[in-house]
Amino acid sequence: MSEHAITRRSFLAGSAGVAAAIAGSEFLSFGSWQQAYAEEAAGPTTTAHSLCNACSTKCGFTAYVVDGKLDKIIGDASHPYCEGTLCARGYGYADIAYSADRLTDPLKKNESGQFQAISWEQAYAEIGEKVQSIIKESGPETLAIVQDPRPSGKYYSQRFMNALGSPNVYTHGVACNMSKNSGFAQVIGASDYTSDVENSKMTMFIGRSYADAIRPSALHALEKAHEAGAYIVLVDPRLNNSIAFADEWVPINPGTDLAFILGMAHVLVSKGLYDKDYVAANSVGFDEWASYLQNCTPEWAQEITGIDANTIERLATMFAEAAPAASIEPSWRGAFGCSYDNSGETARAVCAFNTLLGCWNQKGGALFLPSVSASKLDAGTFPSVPKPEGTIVGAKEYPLSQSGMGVSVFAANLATTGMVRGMFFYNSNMVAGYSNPEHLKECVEALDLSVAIDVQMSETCMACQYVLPDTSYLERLELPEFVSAKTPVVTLRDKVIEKVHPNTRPVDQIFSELAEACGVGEYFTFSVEELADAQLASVGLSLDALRQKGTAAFPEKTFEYGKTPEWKTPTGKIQFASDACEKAGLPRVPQWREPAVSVPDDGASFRLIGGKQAIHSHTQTANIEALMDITKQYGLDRVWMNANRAAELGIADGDTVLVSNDLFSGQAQVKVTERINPEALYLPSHYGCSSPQQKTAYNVGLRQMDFVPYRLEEGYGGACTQETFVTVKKVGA
Amino acid sequence: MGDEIVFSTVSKCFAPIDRDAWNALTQGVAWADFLDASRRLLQRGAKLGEDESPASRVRLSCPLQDFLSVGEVNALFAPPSWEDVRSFAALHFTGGLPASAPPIESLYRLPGDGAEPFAPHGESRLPGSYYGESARYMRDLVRRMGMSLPPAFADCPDHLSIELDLLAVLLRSGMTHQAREFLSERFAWLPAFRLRLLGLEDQAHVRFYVGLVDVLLGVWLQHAADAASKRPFNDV
Ligand code: SF4
Repeated sequence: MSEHAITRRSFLAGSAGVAAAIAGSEFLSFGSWQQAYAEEAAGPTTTAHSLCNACSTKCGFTAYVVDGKLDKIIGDASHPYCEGTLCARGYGYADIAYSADRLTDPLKKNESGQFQAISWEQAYAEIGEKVQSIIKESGPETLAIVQDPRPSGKYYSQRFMNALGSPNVYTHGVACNMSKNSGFAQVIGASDYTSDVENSKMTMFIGRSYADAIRPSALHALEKAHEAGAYIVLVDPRLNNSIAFADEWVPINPGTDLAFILGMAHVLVSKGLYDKDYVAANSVGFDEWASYLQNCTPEWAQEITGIDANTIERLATMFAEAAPAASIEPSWRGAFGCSYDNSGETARAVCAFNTLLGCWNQKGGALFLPSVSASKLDAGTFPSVPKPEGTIVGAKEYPLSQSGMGVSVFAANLATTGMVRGMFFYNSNMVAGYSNPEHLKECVEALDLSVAIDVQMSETCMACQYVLPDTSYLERLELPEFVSAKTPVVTLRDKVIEKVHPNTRPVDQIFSELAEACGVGEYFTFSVEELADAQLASVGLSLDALRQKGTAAFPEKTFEYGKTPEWKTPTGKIQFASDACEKAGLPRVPQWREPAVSVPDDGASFRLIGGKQAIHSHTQTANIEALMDITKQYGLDRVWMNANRAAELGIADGDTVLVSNDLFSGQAQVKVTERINPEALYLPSHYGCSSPQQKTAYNVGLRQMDFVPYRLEEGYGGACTQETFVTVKKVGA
Repeated sequence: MGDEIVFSTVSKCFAPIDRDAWNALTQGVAWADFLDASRRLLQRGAKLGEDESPASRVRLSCPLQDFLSVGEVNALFAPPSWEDVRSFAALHFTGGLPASAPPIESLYRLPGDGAEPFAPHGESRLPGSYYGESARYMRDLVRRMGMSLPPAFADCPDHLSIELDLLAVLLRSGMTHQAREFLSERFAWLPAFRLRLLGLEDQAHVRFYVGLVDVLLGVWLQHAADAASKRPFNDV
């Protein structure tokens, strides 16, 4: 048969000579191919360095790709966060690249509410037209973007929004660590610090568990500290898994950490056990705080926290003995990242307490680790985007909120008033994770324009009008990620595999093309390779060099103990008292503040608390089959209830219970345990996915946020994720 | 008319082709030839790739209704418009939606199930993931045969359209034995795909696609048993 006859109707076709090739080729049956494949180790192996995307730690790894398919990943020893070890999520999440639930084409919601595939051209044209009409009618300040920061995403999303003239660039911080960071900034002028756990004599963790919310290097440090004899204290309503490396569990009443810290501070100050010279040399407002602390006796704190006054006094005294090689660890989301109406104030108290220990930048204390960043780049190649006029929406109402994170859910809430009209979401599942999902869904649906960019159909995607399919993190090069560490480094997420779906696009391309469609393409005339290379050149490296190593260190910037940091506060000192807090309607010094919602003392109610498990990150990993299998095998979606409370309610371990409040009601199995404070009911934060498109995660367990009302913390704007209570009763009783 | 028209036509029905190509395929003689060839291949005793002999013409007695449901036959005799198939594909042949049913073999095979037929199941979840063993096999086979995948199928060499296209190429190249082997090995996933299609709400157009799959299944069932038992196809 002729060449033409063979290939003329074929997709597979057809360069000249195909017919001859086919005729001469040896057909290989599937069985023979499988055998050959198994015997010959299947084709060439290539390697690339990349960064995990299963949590915000972004551990570095080397990926091994066999014959075009990801075969294995191994943590890079040179990456300061993983030190050669990845966690289970890191391995499991790599499956996302090949997941059957991947989004493969741009989608638009039709009149009947169904998504259907459209072309990129149509998506860009319609979105661009809508953006321009919103800007014309209402101004760019009615546009916003929410993103969970990733190396390229944070750069491109900000540049895109700023190019449109809007300052409204938000992270997920409102439901993560914003209150903590904002409270810290009021006292120490920095949004975070690192406890030198491995060299400490004593470290206290409040609501954070390195063994559950894993960063491998942090867990390694905790293990070393424990082996070296450091006294490790866990203050948590729940006995978390870090107890393997800890000495004491303080089963505090949820929402009362602030009183606990004030009680310990009272002991140090009233007994003169604090570092007086350090406080005098480095701080302002101490006397004001000391005066307030007079009434914060351990007995007073016992009443609120449920922790024996002797324990409070003993721990405070131990801290004084261990100082300066001691600190309260900064925590993350945990107890005061975003949980209560007193979270920001708790964060202030933590920094104030550490100041009493004189532990800043001391060995075993609390450290400000150095970092490196790219310098300003050539404006000809990378044109500067004019700074948008005005401030980010929400800054006025929540003046203590960090502008770098912003009160995203407040902006979303304004959609119902028309003051925010268009929102973009990148790698952000705001609807399911940041506050009450039903309310946030209504907010997103009220927008004139809503666009989500993601790899799978999240609840936020479901609420949007357009969904644009991102490549997975394994299929793209991203901008260099600068990491602060004792010796700071820069790391790279390089492309590991070719695109699995040809019609997906990487984030840099999507934002550049969106910008073009919205009329601001002049700010996106460079490729991600060019930008990455220029950023690296500005710190003496190159993209090619970093591609080889994955992680490059800056030894000349290595941290030195003992140096007094520059306090970037308005007074240039550590601030026990803050004018800004006073202006925001809060006390000048950290004072006791009740959570906004108190749990009725009716014998049936519990405060609902969340918290991570070691095999999941928020709701992001729940659709990974290998990780969800672990959940199912160990019943990790159970709620935890105190054994005495369970006995009072006639509930036994393994029972199915109905968890209810006025917002939501749902069934779960219960784990009855001594490992939880009687007032608290623990619901792991990863479950209750309501997106049927995520077929592994869908309908497994309950979602904490369904029980949480829309509420924002005064001054700070945190999402108050534990300001709620529920009742529990046995199903069928 | 050769058997290959059955496979090359169904291949195009599951592929993103443009309006002109769709109209050329479904309006006029080409579609009638496809139906005719399908009917012939489905007859008991018909052999894939066998030249039409006077004897085989005699066997062309059973109408399509004997092999397909009335609804399927009606749907096949009145193929949908290009707009309808485009909108069906936009809802169902894209990934990540509850009603996604991409015609891609890897998605319907459990990891490691190799060539074993996949047991159909009624779950909403697709059992496999992209770029499984069948995809890598198809990629290698296409390469080995000196051909290349079009960009739209780069991610899924085991897309039904490509598998059928390859089968048609084998038949057109006179590689009948290989075509039969390929047919018997490759299409064990179709029952699972068929079940997935049947679960979709859009029944009017589902009937058309299920009808196409049932033509393939009819041919496959007739020939798979022969290949599995290693008997020569003509030894019936
Ligand atoms: S801690 Fe685990 S999930 Fe997070 S980046 Fe590292 S390996 Fe990935």
